[in-house]
Parts: sequence; structure tokens; C-alpha cells
Amino acid sequence: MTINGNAVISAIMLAIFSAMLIMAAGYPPEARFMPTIVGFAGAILSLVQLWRSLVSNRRVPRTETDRPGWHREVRLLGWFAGFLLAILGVGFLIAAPVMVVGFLVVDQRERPILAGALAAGCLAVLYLVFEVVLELSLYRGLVAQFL
Amino acid sequence: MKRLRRPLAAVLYVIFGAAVLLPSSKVSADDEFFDGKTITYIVATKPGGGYDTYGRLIAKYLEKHLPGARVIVKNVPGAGHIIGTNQLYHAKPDGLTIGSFNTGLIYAQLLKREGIRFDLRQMSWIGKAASEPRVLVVGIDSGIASIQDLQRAADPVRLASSGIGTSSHNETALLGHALGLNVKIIPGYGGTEGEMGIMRGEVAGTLGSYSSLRPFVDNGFGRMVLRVGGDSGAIGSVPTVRDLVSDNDGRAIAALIESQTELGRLTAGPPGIPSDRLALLRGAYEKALSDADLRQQANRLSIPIDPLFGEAVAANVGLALTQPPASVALLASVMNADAATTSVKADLLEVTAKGKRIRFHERGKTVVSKVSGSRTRVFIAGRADDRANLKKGMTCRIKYLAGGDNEARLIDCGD
Amino acid sequence: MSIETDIYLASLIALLGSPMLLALIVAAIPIGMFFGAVPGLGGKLGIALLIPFVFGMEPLHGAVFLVAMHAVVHTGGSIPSILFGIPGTGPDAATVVDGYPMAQKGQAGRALGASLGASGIGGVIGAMALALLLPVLRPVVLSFGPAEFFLLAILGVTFIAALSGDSLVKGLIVGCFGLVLATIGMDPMTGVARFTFGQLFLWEGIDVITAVLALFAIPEMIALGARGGSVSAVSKDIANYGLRDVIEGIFDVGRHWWLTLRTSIIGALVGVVPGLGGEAASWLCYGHAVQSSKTPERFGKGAVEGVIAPETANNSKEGGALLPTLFFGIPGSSGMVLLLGAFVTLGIQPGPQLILYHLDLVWTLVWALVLANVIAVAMFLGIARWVGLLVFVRGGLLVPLIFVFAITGSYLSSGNWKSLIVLFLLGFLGYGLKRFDWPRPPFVIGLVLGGIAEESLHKALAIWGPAFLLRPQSLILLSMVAASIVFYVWRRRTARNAHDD
Repeated sequence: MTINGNAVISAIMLAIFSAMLIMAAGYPPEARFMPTIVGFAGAILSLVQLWRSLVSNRRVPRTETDRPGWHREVRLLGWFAGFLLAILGVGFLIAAPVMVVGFLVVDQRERPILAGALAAGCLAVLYLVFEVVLELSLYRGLVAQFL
Repeated sequence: MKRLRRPLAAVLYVIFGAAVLLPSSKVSADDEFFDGKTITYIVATKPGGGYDTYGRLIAKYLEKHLPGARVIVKNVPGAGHIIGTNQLYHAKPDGLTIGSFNTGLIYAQLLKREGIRFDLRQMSWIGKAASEPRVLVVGIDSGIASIQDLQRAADPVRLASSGIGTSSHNETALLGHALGLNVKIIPGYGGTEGEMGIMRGEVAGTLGSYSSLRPFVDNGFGRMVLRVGGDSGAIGSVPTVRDLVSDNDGRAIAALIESQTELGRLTAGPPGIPSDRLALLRGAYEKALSDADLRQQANRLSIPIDPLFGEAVAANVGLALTQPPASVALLASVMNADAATTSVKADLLEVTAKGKRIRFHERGKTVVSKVSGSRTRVFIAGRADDRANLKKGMTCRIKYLAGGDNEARLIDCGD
Repeated sequence: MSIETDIYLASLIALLGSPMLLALIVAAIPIGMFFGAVPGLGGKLGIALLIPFVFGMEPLHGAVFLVAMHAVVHTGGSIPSILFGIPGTGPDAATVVDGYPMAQKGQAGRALGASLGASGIGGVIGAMALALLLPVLRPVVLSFGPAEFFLLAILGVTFIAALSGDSLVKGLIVGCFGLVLATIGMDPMTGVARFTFGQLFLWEGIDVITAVLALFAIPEMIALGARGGSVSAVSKDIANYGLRDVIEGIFDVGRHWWLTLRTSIIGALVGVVPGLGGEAASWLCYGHAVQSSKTPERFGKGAVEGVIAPETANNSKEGGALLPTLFFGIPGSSGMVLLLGAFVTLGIQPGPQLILYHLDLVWTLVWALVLANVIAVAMFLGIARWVGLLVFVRGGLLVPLIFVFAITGSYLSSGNWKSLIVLFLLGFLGYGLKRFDWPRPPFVIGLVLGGIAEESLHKALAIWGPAFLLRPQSLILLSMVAASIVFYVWRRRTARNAHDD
């Protein structure tokens, strides 16, 4: 699958800068000064880069966007999202060991015993170091908040 | 049928018995409601600051004086204490969540700032731990020796504040209005940056709590020219706002800020905590703050303790928040309009309608400015006076809101 | 011998001769390094949490303990930065840019050694610089106001160009993105909540640690997890790993002694001037290293100078920040705010009287700073080789753990679960940037310096009007900014000419 990554990023940046410019227009003069100047510069530069990416792509079709392993990278992105959602859902102390085991066993095909050991170690560190010694409470999750 | 009746009767007896017995057991357990429970003490800042220090100290001694209970501190920082206070306000009012936040939120509530989802009047007040008198400090080399110098200054004097919307900014603006000070407030000096700014000479002074500015003064870098709250015994002979205000607006402002200085390091719970549990909490709080060990610890931490408990605090807060609509409007205009006023020194070209309108030159153009009976402060030869006594030809310093009728805020005329 | 020299030496000898104080320093070092190494904690939290412990101690003991702990925070912070690409503290993000690629090339030991040596020397020079500055301290500190902060921030921003690698346009875009994100939050100058979408947690802006973790740690872990293998692409046998490697790194600091000296002094000066912030020092020095190098294209791919420059700055700035804290009683950095509070609770009253009546205390603290840095090097040398082995561990085992600790770091640093959503979004963006070869350091520079630049500009305008640019200090800085730009252009031109030949 060929994605012109440079063009996509330039387009995203252009969108973000434009959105911020529009929002900044509604602020009083002193407050909108910097966002306007920087946003404007950023938007123009993004446009330039977008143009360049599209043009150069047409001239020399990039084969390296098919870098091998990008499937795996997307899978990893998925796991990252999974870790975050789990922690947001049920909090660090439950989600962390579960996700560690999950990742190691499912994605890395590790032995469950090793996975379990690492997860237990992780939980121990999180609990002992942060909760007990430092007395910093770790997030308990959205679910806990609604109960 | 007969076989069913006995077990059925037994069940009915149990249910009936429970219904009779349980309520009474609840009543007697309320005295020890907190036994075995965990109380969460919310601190509306990140760990490590003044509120966190007070909070953890108080939490520790509350635990000591509530037998069987555990008190844990939870930091809920963000948005200048607003996030933590919102969370506290909406917590379940079962007595198991209490917390501490910046009293300055009173200004935010008065001005109905966005993001506020609480009403301080409704909170269940437990007590307060300290007083925070304010002082206005000017640099030792600033050329300002007294508050009168700020009133009579020809050009606006620059004072530093933390930022628009913060208590330091609001109070500086309010005092400026109450005392007729010719000042320009420069926001953006958070934390101790104000003191550095004074040392560099780019600002002449700043308003802050006595406890935080005291080292600066003791080290010889600045002098106090005004105080709000506190007493002369502790702070020294510095004039207070009360001594200097002469009209109702000024007195209202002084009263508001003074009530703020009284209410430092508050502890409160969400609205609607059952009165018996609140009484338990208040009792424990009072014991905690009277505890000799706590006093000693506080001493070593150099944090002053000057407590007030329960109802007295509630009354104080209610008073501060019940401002007549005129006062609220005054506050809003002072706090918001400060940035928009223009200051000029000019001769009065014309005074019409018994002082209700004046005309003067400003940078080449003529300005006609409305003089309000209630909102414009008029000084002639150093004394507060009536607008009717303004005369053509007087040389005055005029501060007005550009636009519309160019309403004047301050007219200070020489001899 | 003058009286002053006697005091320097006397307090050093007293310090070395006191087993209690030495023990305290030795105890403080691992604690400080721990707070630095775990993302999201940081030196400030360390001080806040240690204050109850130092309560009972004598003032000198407590002060020495805290100073020593705080001095080595960034030394610890460089460890995860190099080994895993996760910055332990905000300022350590600059170390990631070249430190992690070095680890990937199998040179983790050397990078650790360089970082260690740089931290140690930086800390020492920083402390010495502050000692030498004593007589002129006041005028130096007081000459830096909003106008100068603004221009210094702009100078840092021009470094974005140098850090853009091959594509200036991409670097500028990313830099602008950082600058624009820096405006998110409640603007103190106008009271307007900008780009917060009604979210209270954004009033204080985007948390720097969250941004840095999202842009650097997450993409690297995704790449590592997908690629398989270990952090070090080079296997252990070939890498020839051992203590020798680490010592080699320390020697590198000596080899680049001129850079080390310059960045230490720049770091100390940035620390002395209150108001610039910790991240500014390391990025300014990193940018300086890139600009002043004859072969700037090596940076970002594992150039050892890219580790030395920020690490010296990180530690020397602590020495610099201690000065205004002790002498004016005005904290030089946010960490110093807490240290100051701690000193007060210990009964030490910072201020000019310290110079008059307690100069010995001041010198003891300076020496404690120096010793802590030196002893940290020795202590760490012992375990460096084992810590460094982590880069040879299978990446798949590290990835989930690092995900967990990065997310934890973001949560602890910001104090709000909603920051995890920011982590998520920026993490995806960071992955995209890495994937398609867009430079990432300019984003951090924009984010970190944007706030200072804007606020200082508005303050300067409010105080002096546009004429603030005409003050002598401003003109000097303006010429430095211009020089930086000219230098960059000239560099590109000569490189292009060389390329064409």
C-alpha cells in the first residue's frame, strides 16, 4: 500500500494550523498575536511542503513507503492504544499487569510463566514504589469513578 | 401448608426483627461513624507547595483525632485550584471526602468565571488554619516611600501581578481603585518573579502575602507601604487599607479583601454532609489544630497557624460572598476594566452640568469625559471631594475608560 | 593567603573530614538518580517528598543532603534516555536525540560513560563558575529581564533550523507546531483561555513530560516492538561491551573538552538567570553543539557530542540556580522554590546575610554539589556495565514495561488522567513523524521556549514599549540571533558547494 506519508503529515499540519488560526481570530488582540503569527507561518510552510511532497511523489514514486514491517508497526500502535484504554478504564494497578501479560503472550508469544513474572514484577514496582513509599496515588480508572 | 408456615414465620420474624433493631444500631454507630473508614483529603495543587504542606499536616492530625479512621491525601491539581474544588464540590456528601483550596476562588465565583462548577456558600465548612495578611511591597530603590506617593504619582507606577484573573491581580486592581493609586499592573510575574522584577527595577512593587514577601523585606530589598489584614504587632507599623479609605466603595473593597486575608488554608467538604458527621469532623479538626504536636511541627516547617472553626468560618465566607449587586458590578468593572483605562495629566478646559462633564486635551485631541457620582473618585488638593467643585483651569490627573462616554475613574486635581 | 581562600579550603576539608556528611551525600545520590530516572517524577518531587525526612536533621546536614540529591537528578535521568529513548526528566529529552541512537549502534556503554562524565564535569564547572561569579553575581543576575529572556528564547528558536537535519521546511513546520501548542492554556497576560475547548486540565497548557514521552519514547518503542531484536541493533559480542566502553565514554568528554567547557558555562549562566527554565539550558546547549560542529549531519544519528552538551548543561545549571536562591532568597528555578522552603524549615535563612555571616555554609553546599557529582560518577561506574546490558535484552520484553512506565510518567507529571489522551494523540503524531523522517527535536524547542518567548515579549512591551530592542543588552543578543541565522545559512552554502564539487 502506498501512502504518501509526507503529504499526509503536511496536510494534517495544515489543517491544525488553519483551525488554530480560525479559533485565534476570536481572541482579543494581545491574546491572538502569537498564535496568529506562528499559525500563519506554519500554514504557509505546510502548504509548501504539501506541494513538494505531492510533486516529488509524482516524479519518483516512492517505493520505501512499503517499508517492510509496517504491518507490525501498526499492530504495535494498536497495542499502545490498548494499554492506554485499559489503564484509563480500570486503572494502573489492574491494567498494567494484565496488559503486560497480554502483550507478551499474544504478540510476542512468550512463555506464560515469564510473562507472569514480569507482570508481577511490574505490579510490585508500581504498588510499592509509588503507592506505598512515595504515597502518590495512581489512577484507579474511569470505571472506579462511576461506581 | 403447615410445613411452610414455620419457616415462613421464621423468615418474617427475622425480617421484622432486623427492621426494628437495625435503625437503632445505626443511631449508636454514628458516633463512631468514621471508625474503620477512609477519608480522602483533596488538595487542589500538585504535591510540594504550601497547600500540600498544610493539607498533609492537617490530614495527619485529623487521623490522630478521629479514632479508627484513615485519612489519605489526594492531589487534584489544575486550572488554579478549580479542578480540585469542582471535584470536591461534587463528591458524595457522606463525610468521607473533604479538601482544601485557595480562598481566592471567591473572586472567581463573584465574577462567574468559566469552568466554575461550585458555589462556595454551599460548602460544608470545617475550618481554616491560617491567616494570610497581604502587604504591598515596593523596591528599596524605587523612590517610593509611602502609599501617598502612589496616590500622587504623576506617571503610572508599575506593579507586578501573577496574571489576569489571579487573586494578586484582582486585589491589586481593587486596592488601586479603593485608594486612588496611579498604577499600571503588569501581569505575568508568577511565583517569585515579581520580587526579581522589583530588584531589576522594571516594576516598582507588588502585592502579595506577608509570609511570602517577608524575607524579601527582611533582606533589605523592599519596604512595605500598605497592609491588609493582620495586626501591627506582628507586621509592624504599616498603614492599613481601613485607615486610608473614606467612602463606601473603598470600605466595601477593604472589607472584602480583609475577609480574604482571614480565610487562609480552608478545609471544607461538599454541600450536604449530614450534620452529625460534620460535627464530628469539625470537632476532630479543632482538636487537631489545637494539638501541641501539630503546633510544634508547623513551627518547624515555618508555617503559621491561626485557626478558626466551623460556623465562624461559614459565616465569614457567607459574608464575603454576599456582596450587594452594586459591589459586584464595581468589582467586575475594576477587575476587567483595568486594562482599558487611559491616564493623562491635563488642564480642565471646561466643566459643565455641575461637574458631570469635563473637557480636556489629550495628545492633541479634545476629550469629553463623563464624571459619575458614584463611580468616579474625585480628589481636589489632596482631599476627596465632590465633582461639583471641579473648576475650569484646574490641572488634574485624569484616568478614564476610553470609548462611549469616556467615563472617568479618577480625577485628581492639584492646588 | 587571603581570608577567602581559607574559607574555600576550610569548608572543603571540613566536608571531607566529616563521615556523617559524606555518608549523607552517598545516601542522597541513589535517591536523586532514582527520581531522575523514573519518568514523571523529577527532582522537585524528590525534594517535596524528602522534606519530612530531613526534618530532624541539623540544618547543615539536611541542606547538604537535599543539595546532593538534587544535584544528581539529571545524571540519573540520562540512563533511560540513552538505554530506551525515554527521557527521565524534561531536560533529558535532548540527551535522547543522540544517546538512544548510540545505544542502537551498540555503543550504550560509551554513551553512558560520556553522559556520566559530562554530568560530573558539568556539575563541577557549574559550581566553580558560580563561586567565581560571587562578586559580580548581583549585576549579572539583575541584567537579565523580560527583554533578554525573549531574545534568548528567540535565539533558541533559531536553533530549530540547525536541528532540522536535511529538511529545513519540515523542521520549521514542526517547530511552529511546538510554538503554537505552547500557547494552549490560560494566558496570564490577558486572562483568555486559549485552545482549551472548555477543558480545565488544559489551562496550564500541555504537560512537557507528556509531550516529550509521546514524541520520543512511544515511537521508539513501537519501532522496537515491530522490528524485533533488541535496542542495540548490534549484537553483544560484536559490540565488545564492558567497563572499558564506559571509560571510553568518559574520555570522550576529555576529547571534546572545549565543547564541554563552553556548554558547562552556558548551562551555569542559564541556571543563574531565574526565569528561563530547565529545558532551555539543555536544548540551547544541544543546539549550540550542532551549530558549532564541523560535521553537523552526524547529530541525531549517534554523535557523542550530542550527549555531552545537554548533559553538562543539565548539571551545571543546578549550580547556577543555587546562587540566586541562596543569596537573594529568590529561587533560581522551580526546584529551587522547594529547596528554599526546605532551607527555611531547616532554619537557614537565605539572603545577603548568608554572605556576611555564613559564608562557610555556602561554600559547604557548593562543595557538596561538587562532591555529589564526582561521587555519582564513581558509584555509577560500578553498576554502569550491568545497567547497560539492558540494551541487549530482547526488545519484546522491554516494550510492554516501558509502555507502562511512560504512561505512568505522564500521569504523575500532569496529575490528570486526561493527559493520557494527549499522550495518545501526540504519540500517534510522533510515530508518524518518525516514520516519514520528520525531525522531532524542533517540536520540543518550540513547546519549551514558546511560552517564555511570548510572555517575555508582552511584558517587555508593557514596560518599555517596542524600544526595548534598543537597550544595550538587547542589541547584543539581537546580534547573536542574527549571527546564528547567518552562520546557519553560510554553513548550508559551504556544504552545498562541497557537495556539488
